[in-house]
Amino acid sequence: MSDNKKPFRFEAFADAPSAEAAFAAAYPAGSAIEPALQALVDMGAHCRNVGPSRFACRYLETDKALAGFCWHVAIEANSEKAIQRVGIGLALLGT
Amino acid sequence: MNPVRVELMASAVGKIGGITWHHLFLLAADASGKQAFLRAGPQCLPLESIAGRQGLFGDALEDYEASPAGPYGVITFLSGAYAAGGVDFDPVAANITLASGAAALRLWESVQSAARALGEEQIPYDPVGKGANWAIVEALHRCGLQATLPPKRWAPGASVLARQPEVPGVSGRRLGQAVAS
Repeated sequence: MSDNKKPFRFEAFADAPSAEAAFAAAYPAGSAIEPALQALVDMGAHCRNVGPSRFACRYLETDKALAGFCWHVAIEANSEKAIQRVGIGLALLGT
Repeated sequence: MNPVRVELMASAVGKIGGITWHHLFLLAADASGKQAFLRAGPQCLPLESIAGRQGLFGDALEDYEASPAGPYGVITFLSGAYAAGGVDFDPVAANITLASGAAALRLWESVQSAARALGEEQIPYDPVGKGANWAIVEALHRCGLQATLPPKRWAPGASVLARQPEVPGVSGRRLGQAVAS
């Protein structure tokens, strides 16, 4: 991601398509998957490998509230570890 | 979907007073391994949760409509495919099997029906009372199941049960008890 771009933050978005579009702009298909995963982990997302070159991440906004946004990210990479596909889902989560 | 197993899932989502709390949802799996979830949640979030966020058409506040039921709206159920990147996907969620074999299909159908009925009741979502966990446990309760959570998992709201008649034809049992298929 270039320095003149704002870092991607889930807290800037209210729906999954908006977040997915912004994420795809920051980490486009064909770019290396590592910076995208690292950014997700750095912002507090929990990421797991769920298949060959496939990762599922979850980012919760419920740390200080009993209900909030819960973001789900699926990232698939090819054999060169380049992003092939990103999918983002959003759920309203509460106790 | 023709489920052969239905499970109650407990996904860790945060801490209250230093204790991890869990979000409950149901997971059904068919013989091919395809999975589907049934979950409850708030219809919306309070205005302050939306402020400053962008939606597809710009400032999300411009599309915001307050619910007459309160800041969280009514309890809303959602069902769909359980997969990476999708709602409630958590590969490390704790689970407890509720039904397997033929009983799984019966339970899945009756709990979906109970969820629809609960949704139609337009119950205001209360994060410290009748919230998502309450709704899932209540839906199971209406199918004749009395909730027991996966071990060492705390799910606020799960114990706030209303007394309801059991669904005819479904025997009463505790969650996790073996079910004849």
